[in-house]
Amino acid sequence: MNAMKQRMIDALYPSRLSYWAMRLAAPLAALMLDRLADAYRSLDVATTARLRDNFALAFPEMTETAREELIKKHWRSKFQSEFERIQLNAMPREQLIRFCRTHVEIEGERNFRAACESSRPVIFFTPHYGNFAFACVHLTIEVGAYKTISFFYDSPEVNPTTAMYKGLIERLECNAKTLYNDKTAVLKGLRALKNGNALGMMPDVYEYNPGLMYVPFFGRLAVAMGGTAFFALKSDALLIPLYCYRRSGGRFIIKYGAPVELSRTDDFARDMYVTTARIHADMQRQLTALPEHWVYWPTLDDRFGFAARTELPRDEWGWMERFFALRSELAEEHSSLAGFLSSFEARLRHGISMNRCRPGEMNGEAMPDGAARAG
Amino acid sequence: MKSLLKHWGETLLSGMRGRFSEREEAEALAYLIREMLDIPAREATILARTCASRRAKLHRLCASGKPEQSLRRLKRMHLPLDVAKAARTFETYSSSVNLLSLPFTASSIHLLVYLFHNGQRQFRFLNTPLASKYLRPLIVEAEDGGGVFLSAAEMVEDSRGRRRGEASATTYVTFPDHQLTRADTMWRTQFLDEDYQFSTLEPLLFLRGCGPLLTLGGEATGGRAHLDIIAYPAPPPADGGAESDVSALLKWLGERMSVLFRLAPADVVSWEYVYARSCRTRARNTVMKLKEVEGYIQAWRSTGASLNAETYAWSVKELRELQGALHGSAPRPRATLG
Repeated sequence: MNAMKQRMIDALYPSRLSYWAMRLAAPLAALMLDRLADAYRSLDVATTARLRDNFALAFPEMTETAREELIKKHWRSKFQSEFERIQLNAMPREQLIRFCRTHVEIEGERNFRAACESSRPVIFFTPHYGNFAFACVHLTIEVGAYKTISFFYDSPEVNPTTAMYKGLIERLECNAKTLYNDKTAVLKGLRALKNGNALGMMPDVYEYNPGLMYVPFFGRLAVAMGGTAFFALKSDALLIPLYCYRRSGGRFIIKYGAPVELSRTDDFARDMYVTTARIHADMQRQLTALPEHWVYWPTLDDRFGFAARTELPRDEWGWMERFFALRSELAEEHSSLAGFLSSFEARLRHGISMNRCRPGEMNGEAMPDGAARAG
Repeated sequence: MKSLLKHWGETLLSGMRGRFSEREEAEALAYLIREMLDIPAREATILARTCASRRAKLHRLCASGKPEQSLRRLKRMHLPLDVAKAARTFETYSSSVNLLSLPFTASSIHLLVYLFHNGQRQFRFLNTPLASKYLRPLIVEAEDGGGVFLSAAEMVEDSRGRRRGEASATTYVTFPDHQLTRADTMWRTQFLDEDYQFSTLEPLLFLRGCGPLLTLGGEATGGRAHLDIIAYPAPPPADGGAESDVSALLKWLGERMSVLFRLAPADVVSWEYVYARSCRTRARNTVMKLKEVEGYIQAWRSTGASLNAETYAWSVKELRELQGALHGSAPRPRATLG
């Protein structure tokens, strides 16, 4: 029975009839999805409230009306993405390839071509933004002519919701592999890059492990994984940002950004940090320009770890003063951690004041990477 | 006469040794219970004594390897779970496959032994150190593979096999309070008002169709705890589920487990495991806080102002050393960092 159903789908989907039926029904379907999303926005009070709080955190200057409009857009984008994901998942190979080739407009194609034609390995990174599944499929098809591309994602044991992506990539029968983020991930990833091939990564996911770090993101310190920077630095890969979002008429825009510059100093840990911070700065630019498409807005505050209230100073000064706010938020009063941080702060203050007393010593101005070597 | 005296002497010594070790265990338990439940020392000591003595009895029963005799004695232990009633509740959820996720308590052991020996279902038990010690001697593997102890990976594999058409009714039994899976499959969830880590095994099995998910719920009436089986209220999502479904399920399990640990602390067998994991989670949180401080120093340095190279270097070095020490440390009591 199931086989018969699958045969019917296989026969119907690639047909011209179904293609035109889908195209004609698309505006109506989009309208219905928008209405459904609006209804959910009112019903799912908790998520809407979190969205409101997180948009206020990220865009404090935004007016309340603009924020409400953004919440509406975010809900609608979420529903459309889910619908598109189901559509993609149901499409047989030929239909999938045709859909991904005909429903897309490319921005920054020069960056894409240059990266593919380069002998250097390439890492394409995208946050969970817009229709990232569509971006992955499109990337698989287009990069396949130049390089083998491998995608990292959580195994279904770690995250039971990722099972569909493996099927989607495999169905294309292109030059692509899927790699699980497990203990062998580092080796697998490096092997994939060794011969000048490509890797697809999503740096906006995280789990609490020893490899994580906190980088500036929307004015606060947000948790980030160093994996993307690690692979790029170890293999000297080009780091190409990729963003996919929809526009009207059921079409998508895929935007390939200019390569993110890798930090190169003698301190590998510092390089990892700076490169990861640059990746996040790139994502923040896109998320600020068109915020509604990012999937993780409802949980933005979770990323800010234990010090969500402490904003980073906006200029070069005020860092020493703001450290007190950070340590007060991180450690309970009278705890051992509070004691440690208090003495740490005193020594920081002392170190800075000593430096001020020594005229002529390099103060780290405007060359953070090189300056780190002095330590 | 001599041998008789020797025998008496040995019995006396062994009894004294047993009492001494039980007392030591009770003292250690009192500390754990006080730390975990945040209750006065006196109350914790009384609870710990009951708990240690119950555990000793339970261990003797389980080590005997005689299920029927053990069931009779378990019944006489006045546990907070009415096993016959719970078994009837269990029957109402007896679909072709279900998932029984229990805290490792004396009541849970009683229930599992009872269900295993009085029902027609096949049981797949998650193999944990406590399950091996207490449960395994009472569960005799049936010829049809009825009572099998599996690792988490084997259990997932077994559930896949079942979906391919195995017909017999099966119950998967897991122990979320102390079971351990790979570090990346442990999700952060609240338990006893603190950060804790639960394995994603239950959500994975549930989202893949091993439902309903059952656990023990409880309430205090007439000054006594009364437990019964309850089911996870949400149906498995049709589309395979999202991360929010995993979080919601773990949150629900964490809440139910917290209720049981508070309601019947003397019934709990897994205190040491729970405490060790809680300490590890706490140490991990402290490492994360130190990483946040390090992130601040790194971001400060990147602005290129006011933080000189020397101060930057020692501060990052010191923060990393402390992170390394904490990350590799054994479980430590609450009074330490954090």
